[in-house]
Order: sequence, then structure tokens, then C-alpha cells
Amino acid sequence: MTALIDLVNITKYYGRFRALDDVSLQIHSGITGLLGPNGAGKTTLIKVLLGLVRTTSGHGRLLDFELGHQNREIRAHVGYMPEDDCYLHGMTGVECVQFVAQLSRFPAVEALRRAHEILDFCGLAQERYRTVETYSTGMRQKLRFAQAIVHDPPVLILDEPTSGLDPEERQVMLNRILVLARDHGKAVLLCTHILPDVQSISDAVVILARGRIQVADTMVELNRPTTPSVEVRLMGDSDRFVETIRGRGIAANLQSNGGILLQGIPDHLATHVWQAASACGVGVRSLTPSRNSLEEIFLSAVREGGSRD
Amino acid sequence: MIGNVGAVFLFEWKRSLTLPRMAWWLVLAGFPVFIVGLIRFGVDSAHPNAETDRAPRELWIGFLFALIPMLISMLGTMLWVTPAISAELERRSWVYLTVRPNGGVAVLLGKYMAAVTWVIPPALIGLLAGIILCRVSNGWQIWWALATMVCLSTPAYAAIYLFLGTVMPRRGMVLAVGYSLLFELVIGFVPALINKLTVHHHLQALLLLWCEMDIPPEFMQGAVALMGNTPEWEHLAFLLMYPPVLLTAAVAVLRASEFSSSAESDV
Repeated sequence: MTALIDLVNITKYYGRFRALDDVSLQIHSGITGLLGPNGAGKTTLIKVLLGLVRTTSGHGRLLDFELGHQNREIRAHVGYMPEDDCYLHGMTGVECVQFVAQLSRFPAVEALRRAHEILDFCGLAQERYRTVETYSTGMRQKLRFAQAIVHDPPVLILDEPTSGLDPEERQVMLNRILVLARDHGKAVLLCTHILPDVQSISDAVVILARGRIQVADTMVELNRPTTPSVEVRLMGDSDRFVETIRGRGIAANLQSNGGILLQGIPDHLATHVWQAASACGVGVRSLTPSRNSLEEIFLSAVREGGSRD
Repeated sequence: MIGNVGAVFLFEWKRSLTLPRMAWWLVLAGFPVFIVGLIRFGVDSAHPNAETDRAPRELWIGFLFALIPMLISMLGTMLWVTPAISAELERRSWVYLTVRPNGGVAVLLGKYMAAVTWVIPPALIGLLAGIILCRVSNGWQIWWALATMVCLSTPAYAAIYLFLGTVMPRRGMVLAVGYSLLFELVIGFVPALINKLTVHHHLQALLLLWCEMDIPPEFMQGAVALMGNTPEWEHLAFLLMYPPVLLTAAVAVLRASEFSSSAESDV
């Protein structure tokens, strides 16, 4: 599968500060979460993709366009939702969206039609006729999202799209992103600090730390534990169950969350679990193949990035 | 590209129809009228029974020239276009605009056009009122000459200030004020080759050529030394060259620069 974004050995210095260090990365269609602590280089990476800063070395491609050489074409094909709460003073929501659509080369009437259509999709109803200064955080977030997608770009770069939203609004925003990715075939680069957002909708994850790529893989691969295991939850005496299962030569650890982690191939373990539970007189509440948590992956990647320096 | 510039132009005009900006528009139109009116009142009060105007025609024309094609054009365009980029950086909307195809260039040129069309009308209205107050002979001829100068000086000054604001967005205003004081006001009066680079020099030359000024021979010698014997078309060519040359340079600087707001300086 051809990568939509392909970066090769990208390095970027601001003066003597190295913001990106030999970044090579391929991003395919679907939703890719871009994670990293503050100062990791996420914003610089986005600016490189948008041609807002020049790279010190390395080269790359976005769709069929060379980074740094075909910025105009790249910008026509990318929708960017910046993190900053920036809006155009004195304009109504619909005028703001129409204006940026016009800047994306749509005639005024078509730009207005698109603005209304996108604001409907984003859930800005009658508020669209109010000046943007009067908008709440959630409304501004929707407006920024609408401005990013009004020109129907195949690639979306969303910087903190759910920050400042209440849980319900956050879920609605994530659903919108999912709809765009799944139903409209958009490639989405989702830059956020909210790990559950990435965990819930991303197909792949990239973790940056200190300007370097620490992790770049699909969610399926990242979730797969290094040694196969299952997590068992019981109703009854867990200690006796652990002793029984260990007696069968299976490594078992009681976890702080009350679950029991058993190492081994899930299909093979299931029979032992049912037999041991029956022998101990406990009920099995759940038996699920265990997964790596994104938080653990993130923390370990960031620690690794820090320790290399 | 033209559509993008047009969109920014219309947007900027729409944005300028606010109370503070309209008030500033009135100040631009009213300031020369106020100054000329004050002088008129002073002259009339000092010589209440004079049959002819005691202030010479050349003095009135000189005042109008200094106030309108020079001061109003400079001040109006300086305040409008110098912060073209820095204002968007401060509002953090710059990134929004530049991530559109040719967005940055459209903002630059759209704001330039909006500034020029915003400054010329109050200058022309102020000029008309000033001419009426001055009661100079051949008033319409003077209005026509100075109005043409306004239409030449405003785009030229706007291009200069836009260029300065693009080269140094954070200190653009300081640079613009420094340029105006040093180049336009000081070097413009220096009888050397460098004064040909100022807008002031060419406007002054056109003033002498177009307004049929009755200048005493001893002053005329000084004027010729300052202006040289450059033909009219050369002055016009210089003034008409400022906008294309400086706008091209500003676009080149914009394309080579990596602007970021303080909030975007996060890596």
C-alpha cells in the first residue's frame, strides 16, 4: 500500500535547537494518532508537512507532492485544524467558513453553500449567524473543524480537536472524525494529548519524543502483548484459583485491578481456566486476551526517548 | 489567485466598517481641513478688512501638499498595511490563512488593495474641503493636480510600508516610522542622487511642474538644484514603479520567511 505521507530523514533545527531528528515515517490512509509530550516536535512536524517551515535536511512527500517544493498543491489537499483558538474577529461563523473556502479557490456563492453544508455537519445551528467572539469553547472548536474540512481535502491534520470539550461533545467530535475517515476515505493525522481518543479511533500511532520517532505502528500490533496472555476476572476466591492454575504449570499474576494475568496462548489457556475454576468453586466473570495499554506504550516510549539523551 | 486576493480585499473592507475604523477615516479626512481652516481663520482674523488674500497662493498649495499627498497618504497607509502580517500573527489567525493555497500572498495583496482604496477617498474629500477653504485661484486645477498625486503617493507608500512590515513584522511600525522620518523627510530634501529613491522627491517635482507655482527666481535656483531637470515622465515612472517592485519583493520575502506567532513557537 502506498503511503499518503512519506518522510525520509527529516531534520529541523531552530538555531541550535534540534526540533526534529532524522525523522523517517510513513503514514497510510485511516486515522493515525500523533502523540508526544510537550516539546516533542509534533507542531514542527505538522509545520513541515504544511510547508510552513523548511527542513534542515531530508525530504518527503504528501500524496504526490514534494514537501517544500509543491506547497501550494499540498495546502490545497490538506485540511489543517490548528490547536490555537484563532478566529477572525467581527465575522459570523458562516462568514468565517465562507472566507476560508474562498481562499481555497471556491467562488463566493459555492463557498457559502459549502460553509452551510459543513456547519450542518459540524453541528453549528443558528449560532452560525452570531459573531465568533460570542462563541463558547465547544462552538469555536466546531468552527475550527469546519474551516479545516470546508474544501473537502483528502488529508486532515487535526491538532487537539477534542481539547476543551465536555465528554459528550468529545464523543460527537470523535464520531465526526470517524465518519470522515471511514465513510469519506479521508486520511487523518490526529495530534492530541488525550490517549483514550487515540486508543478509541486510531488505526495507527506515531509517538514522538525529543524530535525522534519512538513508536510508529498499527494499533493492532501495538495492542498485541509481547508474550501472549489472557486476563481473567473471577467471582470468588482468587488466591485459591491462582494456586490451582500455577499447579498446572501456568504463570499467573494477581493484578492491582483485581484481574489475574495468565501467560500463554489464549485458546490453550481457556480449557485450564474453566477446569481450575470448577475445581476451586469460583465463577469466571470474564476471560479476555490481554492488550498493551496505549498509556504504557506512551510512557515507555517517552522514557526511552529521554534516556537516549 | 485573483479570486483569493479579491476575497481578502472584500473581507478587509467588511472588517473595516467598524466604528473605530470609521472614526479614523473621518480623522484622516478632517485633519487637513481642520489645519487649513485654522490658518484661514488666523489670516482672516489678522487682516479683517483685506481685499485680497494676505497668504500667498503658493503657501496654501504647499500646506495642502504637505498635509494630503504626503502626510495623510503616509499616515493612512502606514497604520493600515505595516501590521498586515503582525496583526494576523498576534490574532493567531496567520496560520489559518497561510495554510490555504497562496493564502499568505492573498492576505498581503488583499490588504494592500484594501488599504489603498480606504485611504484615497478621505484624502480626496479632505483635499476638496481644503481647496474650498483656501480660496486659491484655479482651485479645480490645483485639486486635480494634488488628487493625481494622492493617487500616485498612496499606492507607493502602501507598497513601501507593506514591504517593511513583511521584512520585519514584529518591529514593522518602528521601521516604518524610522523610514518616514529619515528617508521621506530628511533625505527627500538632500540634493543628492539618493533623494531620487524617495516618494517625496518625485511628488515635490510634480508639484512644481503641475501647479504653476509662482516661485521667486532665488528660490527657483534652489528648487532646480534639489529637483534636477528630470522630465515629468521620469517622476511618474518612478512613482508607478514602487508598487510592482516592492510588492514583488514583499511576496518573495513572505515566501522565504517562516513566520510564527508566540503561541505557535511550541515545537
